Parts: sequence; structure tokens; C-alpha cells
Amino acid sequence: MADQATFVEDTEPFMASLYSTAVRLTGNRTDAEDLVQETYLRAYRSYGSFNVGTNLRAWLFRILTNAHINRYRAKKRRPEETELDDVEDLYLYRRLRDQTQYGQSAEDQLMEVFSEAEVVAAVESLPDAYRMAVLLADVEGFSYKEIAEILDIPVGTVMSRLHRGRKSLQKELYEFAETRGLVSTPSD
Amino acid sequence: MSDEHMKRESAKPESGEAQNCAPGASGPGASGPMSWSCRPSLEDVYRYLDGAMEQRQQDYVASHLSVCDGCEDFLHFHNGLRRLVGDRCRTELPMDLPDRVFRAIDELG
Repeated sequence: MADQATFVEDTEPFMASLYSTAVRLTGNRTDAEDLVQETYLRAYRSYGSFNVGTNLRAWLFRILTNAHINRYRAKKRRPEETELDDVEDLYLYRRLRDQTQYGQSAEDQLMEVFSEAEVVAAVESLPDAYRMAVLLADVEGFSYKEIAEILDIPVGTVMSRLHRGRKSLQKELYEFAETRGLVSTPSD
Repeated sequence: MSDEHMKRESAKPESGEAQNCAPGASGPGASGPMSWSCRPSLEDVYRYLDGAMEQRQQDYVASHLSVCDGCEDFLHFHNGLRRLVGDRCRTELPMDLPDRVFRAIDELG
């Protein structure tokens, strides 16, 4: 059983990524700070039940996501399930391909096309369930299994939310690019 | 969850996007452990990038990428997109937040 006396030392290294995730979940820094504080208070209170040697980072993220869901469940409208099945999978790639320079890394190319504000806006436009999965996978680098533990859902549901979240994200980014005239309008 | 699957940046023009160079494979999606379609679904792309395929299939795809510029370019793009999200969605921790949080814990007594 973990000892509360070592709580600060054990958990402080994770505050930066918990905060970063909290900002994307809540959409603003003030709420994110509150969410992080609440997470740490809850974690401290239940630290005695944490099994030392198991995945502390995932345990903390579970507390964060639960706290977020509880706090904002009443305020948030039900996430819209945008129709995605009709969107072809090669969406953004096919449309942006002509913009790219050979020899440059894909990430550099994409950074030239999309501003930070646009990427953030695209992520924050995702419904909560998809957003959490994408943040945990693509920002925090958790495995499917870890995400399943954090969100207390089956691995299959993780994969489904990730798939839909990433697909939605591509659609949002595509719309930004289209607004700026960077892609041709669909011809088919 | 790493970039180790993308070993080199492709500087060659893409080719073979319309070719199906996986023998016996037809249509989108990786239908079995030793197949990969040159029109992979997004799900398959990310399963590969996420390291979520079983090892044999992961190895098969990796070796396919070494001979198929079209697929490699496509996977590079999606890996870049994933990294873009990762890099752009981090917010720096306010310097005073740890103190505030741990002071609140102290006050619990």
C-alpha cells in the first residue's frame, strides 16, 4: 500500500501532463487548474489504496478523467455522433497531398499547414468520449490497454472511440484547410 | 506508440497507390495476419502506428513499407498527423500550480 508521506514526491512528476490534458478537456486554464487540484486531492485521500509498483500514471489519469466526467456531466450536452461512415478514410491525406513538399517530414509539412490554434480547436471540437481517447493515445502515449483501464471500458470500445475521434479530427482539420483555400473542393 | 515504425523519410514520389502489391489481398483492410492492402483502412493504419497488431502482422507491414512507397508515404502522413496532435496539444504547467496544489493537500491535515 502506498504511503501518503511519499505522495508529493511520487506524483509531482505527473502534474504537467495531467494539467495539459485537463486544459484540453475543460477548454480553459482556470477550470483545468481546478480539475488538477481536485484530482490531486482525491488521489491523496485514496493513496493508501494504490498498489505500489502498479501503473501510477494511469491511476492518476483515471482519477482525472472521472473527476472531469463528474464535474461536467451536468453541464455538457450529449456528445453528437456526427455521421462519419460516409467520409472516406483517405480524406485529409488525399486532399492535402498536393500541398506537401517532398523530403520534408510529414509532421513539418502539417505544421506549416495547420496553426496550433487550429489543431487545438479541432481536438476541442471532439465530443468528450472521443476527445479523451485521442488525448490519452496521441498526446500522452498510453496503450489501448492502459486507456481501457483509465476509462473503465473494454479495449474494443477504446479502439472504436479512437477510430471515430481521429476520423472526426481529420474532418475538422480538412474544414480548416478548406476555409483557407488550401484544398480543392471535392469533385466526386 | 513510437516512431520506430517509420524508419526513413520517403523522398521519392509516391508510386503504387493504385497497385495492390499484397498477393491475394483484395479490397480495403488487412484481412489476415499476413496481408496488407495498398488501400488500408484508417483503422489498420492506426493499429500499425499504435503498435496494436500482433507481432507477425506488424513485421509483415514493416517489410511491406520498405518496398511500397505509396503505403510508406501514407503511413508517414498519418504518423505526422498523430505527432502534430501530440505536439500542439500540450500546455505548459503554470509554475505556481504545484505549490498551490500541495498546499491544499497540507491543509487537509
